[in-house]
Amino acid sequence: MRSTFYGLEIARKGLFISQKGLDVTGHNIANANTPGYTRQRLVTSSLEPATGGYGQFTYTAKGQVGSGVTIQELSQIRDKFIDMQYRKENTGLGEWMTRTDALQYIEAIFREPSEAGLNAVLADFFTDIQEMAKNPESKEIRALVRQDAIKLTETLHHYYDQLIQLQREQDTAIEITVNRINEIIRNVKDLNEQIFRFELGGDKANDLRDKRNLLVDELSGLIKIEYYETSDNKFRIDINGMVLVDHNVYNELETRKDVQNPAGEGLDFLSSIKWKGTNIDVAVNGGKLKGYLDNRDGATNDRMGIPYFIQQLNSFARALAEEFNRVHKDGWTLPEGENESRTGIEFFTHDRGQAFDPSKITAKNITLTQDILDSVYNIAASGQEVDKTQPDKQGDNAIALELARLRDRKDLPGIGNFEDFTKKLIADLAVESSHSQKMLEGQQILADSLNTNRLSISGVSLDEEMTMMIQYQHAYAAAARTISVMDEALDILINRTGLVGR
Amino acid sequence: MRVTNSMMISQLMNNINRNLKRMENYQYQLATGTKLKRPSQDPVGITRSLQARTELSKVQQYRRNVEDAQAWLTQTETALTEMNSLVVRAYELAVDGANGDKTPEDRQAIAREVEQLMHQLLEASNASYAGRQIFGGYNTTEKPFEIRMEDDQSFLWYNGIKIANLTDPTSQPAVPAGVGSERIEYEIGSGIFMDISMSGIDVLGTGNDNIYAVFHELYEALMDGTDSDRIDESVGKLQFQQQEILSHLAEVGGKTNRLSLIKTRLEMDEMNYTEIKSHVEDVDHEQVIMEFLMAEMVYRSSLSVGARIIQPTLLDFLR
Repeated sequence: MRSTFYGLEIARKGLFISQKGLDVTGHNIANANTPGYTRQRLVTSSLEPATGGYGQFTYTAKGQVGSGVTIQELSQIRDKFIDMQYRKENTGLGEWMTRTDALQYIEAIFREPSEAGLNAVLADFFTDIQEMAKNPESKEIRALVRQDAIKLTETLHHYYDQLIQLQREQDTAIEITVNRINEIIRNVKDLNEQIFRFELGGDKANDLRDKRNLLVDELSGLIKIEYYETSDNKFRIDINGMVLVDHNVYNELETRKDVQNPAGEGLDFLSSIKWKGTNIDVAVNGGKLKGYLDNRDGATNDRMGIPYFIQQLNSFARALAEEFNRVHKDGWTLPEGENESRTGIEFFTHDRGQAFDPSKITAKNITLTQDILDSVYNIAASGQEVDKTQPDKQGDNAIALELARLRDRKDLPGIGNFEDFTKKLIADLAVESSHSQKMLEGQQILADSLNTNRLSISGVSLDEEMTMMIQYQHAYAAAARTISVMDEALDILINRTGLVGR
Repeated sequence: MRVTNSMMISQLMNNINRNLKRMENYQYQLATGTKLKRPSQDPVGITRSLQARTELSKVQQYRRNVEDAQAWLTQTETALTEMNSLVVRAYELAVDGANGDKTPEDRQAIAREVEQLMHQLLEASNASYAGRQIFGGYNTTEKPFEIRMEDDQSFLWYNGIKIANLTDPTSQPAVPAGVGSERIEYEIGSGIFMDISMSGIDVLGTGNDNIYAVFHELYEALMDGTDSDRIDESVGKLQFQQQEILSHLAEVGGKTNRLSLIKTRLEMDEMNYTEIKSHVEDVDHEQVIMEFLMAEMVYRSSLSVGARIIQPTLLDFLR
């Protein structure tokens, strides 16, 4: 036997569901542009007929009608597999982004091709020496040689300083990134607890999950992670098998200044990344952090970082000072005033207070000796002693020619040829940077297309929401009409039944 | 595929950005005239460009060296030519003076012209180019030749060394070995050197064969005016010296020719390397402008399509 108000109850459920549906639609539309928002759907199901009851009220007749509608769940439309793919590519994207940034910056430091790059400055220097070979007695041309030698050393200093500065920035970026990772995992841990509590009641913590997904997206760009969610809704993130967050337990990372700078001795220590409170190094296999580390530490041909370029510049400076001095020492200076013609004069040095030691030369400290700075006549262009008592024989240019010949030498120890070496350095940089840019471009396209897939599935489509809105609106109106009809039927039953013939 | 608004907008942003970046690249090329903003844009090209720059710098330097050598040798040639005409004139005067019909007075008149020639010869031997002495060897700053007295005798000095006794031709100073062997070389190509110096001793000679000493002896003989045999002796020496000067002139001429050839080659090299450098670095304006216009068109259409995509939703069509 059907209860009197059974129909009203069904219609009421319809009203509520439609209202709920409108709420969800409204929520979706409101968040159409919220980053990380996943569209939600009201999943409903029809209710089985109201069976059961006791004794005479037990109703098991044929033609049973269901008892309306109920909410199954408020679900998120999200593809976990695409998430995983996206995060994998995002890790690569982060790495190549930081690599590309730094390599392009280094390219800017080297300023090639230009009139101010190392190649041009070196060419100027050798040009001056050729001029000096033609005019060894000219004070002006000697001054030009000295000036361009200073320009050469200053260019090397400038490169060195800028590279060290960039390296320091990379080191700072590592610390900041580690701090950000710690912040993210603390937030993830909080969200884990909230989501777990919320979902104990059977509801879905959609909006909290969106927040957590967004954090995991960000984390995947910083460092390579693995993550999964257990069947009892506990979420875990690992770095190379070590637990970063396991539901409500987390291990932070920390940086410690204990890494010897591979760019050279006597430089500040750099940061290592450790699991907090332990001596275990964190395995950084990808993400921005990997990029920063490669930039900061890369000292080899297949992993070109700042130390590689500094070491190359050091080799160059060393060979320049050593070879130039070796030839220059054989030459004789011009006598000037009280000064006799002298030989054995060094041209370049690392420290004006100390004896010249080629192994101590770096791109940072290469400079001219006090002799050269004191007087341009101390540039030894002559192959023999310039006797003061006779007419000055200032025209001897044997050593000047020998110095100029250094430009064409292909067998300089350590570097081969000066200009081939600097050229190769720029070519290496160009190839590495171009490779990095291509990798970045590829990663960008992959990540973009995966993100597009993700937005295609999870994003809010306003057209769709409007359609849903109209659907719910009509359903609501119809449910309301059903109530009116029920009302009318009951009115007839209650107020007009039994009035026959009255 | 389901199309959502946020997806469309993010794709649109990506596309607009990419198009704008392409425009920016062409804009940079047009504004600077160079294709290479960073070496990584063309790693192969940058190597060629740097190589060309290095070669260009060397070739230009060699060309400057060649030009300087040419100027130097031209000046040497001028001085030698002048010496030659002086010797020729002295020869004529000697032949004239040796004539038996000349009176001592005639010969003294000729001697005064020879005296002038002596001054001119000294000047020509101390010729300089751009403030540098040509015949001084490593002594480029002071006049190499001078006449100075020592122990009441007059000597011709070269770089502070006595090379000829003018007062007493019978006691000539011994010239130390190695004087006049100083060579100044210019590098006129990679590893190619040219000796552009000419020692004053080689040109003028030493002792009684020295041209100045010969002139002086001729002068003395003419002043004496009585001994035509003594004058005749100078005629033979002058003839010999003129041959010497001509052979030096031929040597200079040969070097000048060689320099001209090298210069032509260097100029061609310079042109080639400039072309290589330009090919890698410089913008082909017509092409880049066309590409820029195309990029601009694509950019404009992506903007206008964007404006159309973003705006309408179903919302616009509901009451």
